[in-house]
Amino acid sequence: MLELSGVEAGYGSVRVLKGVSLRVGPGEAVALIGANGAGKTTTLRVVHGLLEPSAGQVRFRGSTLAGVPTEARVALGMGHVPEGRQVFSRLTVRENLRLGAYTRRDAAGVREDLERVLEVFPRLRERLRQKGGTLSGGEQQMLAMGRALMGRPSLLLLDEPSMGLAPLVVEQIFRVIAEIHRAGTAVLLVEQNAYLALELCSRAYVLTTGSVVAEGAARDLLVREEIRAAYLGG
Amino acid sequence: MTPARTGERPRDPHAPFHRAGLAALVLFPAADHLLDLRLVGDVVPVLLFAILAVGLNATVGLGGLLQLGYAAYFAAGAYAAGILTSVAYPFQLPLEVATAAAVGAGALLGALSALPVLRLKGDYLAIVTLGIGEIVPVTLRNLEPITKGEFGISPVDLPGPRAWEDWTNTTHGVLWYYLALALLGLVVYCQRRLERSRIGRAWEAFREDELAASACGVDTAAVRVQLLAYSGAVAGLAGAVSASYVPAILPSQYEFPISAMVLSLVVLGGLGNWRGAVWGAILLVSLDRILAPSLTRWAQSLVGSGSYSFFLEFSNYRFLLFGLALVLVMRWRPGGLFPPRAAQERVG
Ligand SMILES: Nc1ncnc2c1ncn2[C@@H]1O[C@H](COP(=O)(O)OP(=O)(O)OP(=O)(O)O)[C@@H](O)[C@H]1O
Ligand SMILES: [Mg+2]
Repeated sequence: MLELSGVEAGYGSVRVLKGVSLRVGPGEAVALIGANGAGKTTTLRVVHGLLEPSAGQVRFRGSTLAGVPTEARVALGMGHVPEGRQVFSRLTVRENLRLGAYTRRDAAGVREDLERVLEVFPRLRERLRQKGGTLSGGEQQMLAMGRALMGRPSLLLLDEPSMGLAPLVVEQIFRVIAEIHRAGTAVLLVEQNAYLALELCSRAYVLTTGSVVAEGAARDLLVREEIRAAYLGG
Repeated sequence: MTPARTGERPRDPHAPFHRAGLAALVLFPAADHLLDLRLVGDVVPVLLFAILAVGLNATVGLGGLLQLGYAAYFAAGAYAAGILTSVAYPFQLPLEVATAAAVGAGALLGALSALPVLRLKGDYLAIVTLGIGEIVPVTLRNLEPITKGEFGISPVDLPGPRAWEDWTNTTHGVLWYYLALALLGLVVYCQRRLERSRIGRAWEAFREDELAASACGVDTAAVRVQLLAYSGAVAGLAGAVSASYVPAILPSQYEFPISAMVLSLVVLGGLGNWRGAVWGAILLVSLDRILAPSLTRWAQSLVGSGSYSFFLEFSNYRFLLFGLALVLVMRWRPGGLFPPRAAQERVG
């Protein structure tokens, strides 16, 4: 489904990714873990076309994405829940959700999906007319996820969905991610909370200063000493 | 998707006031006639400023792009209309045709000025638009073979069939008044349609958060082109009409003070809502163009035309007062004099 090979990228003269290769199969859930500043967000940006790689290749559903703009990637089925949520704060919840379906032309399907998203996040239904910026942090995370789901993605890129949320809300969010995944959507999950990520995902990549230093089945990574020490707090 | 649209935003508690204002606008010429005020002709430029304010409000209010050279697009429309209709040029098209061309000229200049700023926002974009606002009048001054330089262009064709010319002459302001009002209505209608459309939503998303907007699949380079071309087209329309209304088109009518004035109208009226732009423009330009000159005449008649009379020329205080008004509004009513519903909601 998604394949990165030898991707290098950076901002100006700063090189951040130094040859990242990873793969997400159809319907697979894969975690990308690593310390602060390792380049996880940058990787998602490259995947979504918000940043052009200086070397290497990104392939999605069998074709290369070089030069393909973000809007086309969204239309191809990539949904992105950016780091820090980034909801449109002065637009209503409904407007936010409809923007998630911006690239879609099937009005009936969009209506259906809106209904589905509101079933998944009943909190949003109560707040459809409220401004995005007035939602609580957890509700904003739900809104950002709902917005991405409105594009009917086949691959969902999630950047630290647990950031700054109370444990109970995190649990709720992760239950939803698991549901979305079970319904057949592939997930690439960036997460500081490696335990949570590894519980949800079947495979994982460990990123350190722009390179993949370990990969494998989540179960195996969970028990590997050096990874436990570095990322799971012993 | 139409059923979902109603109730997308809460109802406007000020709707009755807006309706009353609209009725006042429609009935104004009758009142003017009955009371023998002879102000109808003076209100025409006020309405044209309102059109400009609505157009600029799209870029600044909806799209969040600070546009400091809006007079350039106004000029593009005026000169397109002037060149295509005036007897000083070989084309001599009717104004209606020239107006369509003027709208196109404004849109084209807008789209072209988006090209250097496809990735810019904030201060950088503001500086580029400021530059365009400076380049255009200088070009108009110096490109004499085409623009007649300081000599200006006149006469510009009047609206309507030739037989109406007496009527549409500036001394018969009523027809002009309703023409300007109808165009303002047209522009407001387009703007409302746009605001509620997919494009308008993309503009607002772009204003709120460019990165998140592109993550939703909004082409942010295209948004810049759309915003500047759309507001350019509106300015082109106002330019064509005003070119026909004023005695002559001169480069000095399209300089920075006009851009600054329209921008202050937008900010004072309320960013991001056309109602604020319209009422802000009507209120403030009326004060500036109608009340200030009357006050001046009155004050000068009191003191006689001594050497101090210059200080009693109230229009000279225009930018002082606008500046003051801006400061006060930003301090006490950051949503503008006529804030959008969103801003009211947040305060409440
Ligand atoms: N816009 C930018 N301009 C310049 N440098 C940047 C930019 N964004 C990120 N960086 C740098 O790139 C490196 C990787 O950043 P990135 O955001 O990808 O890390 P991350 O793994 O997501 O970290 P975190 O867990 O803290 O979110 C960091 O050193 C950061 O300073
Ligand atoms: Mg990050």
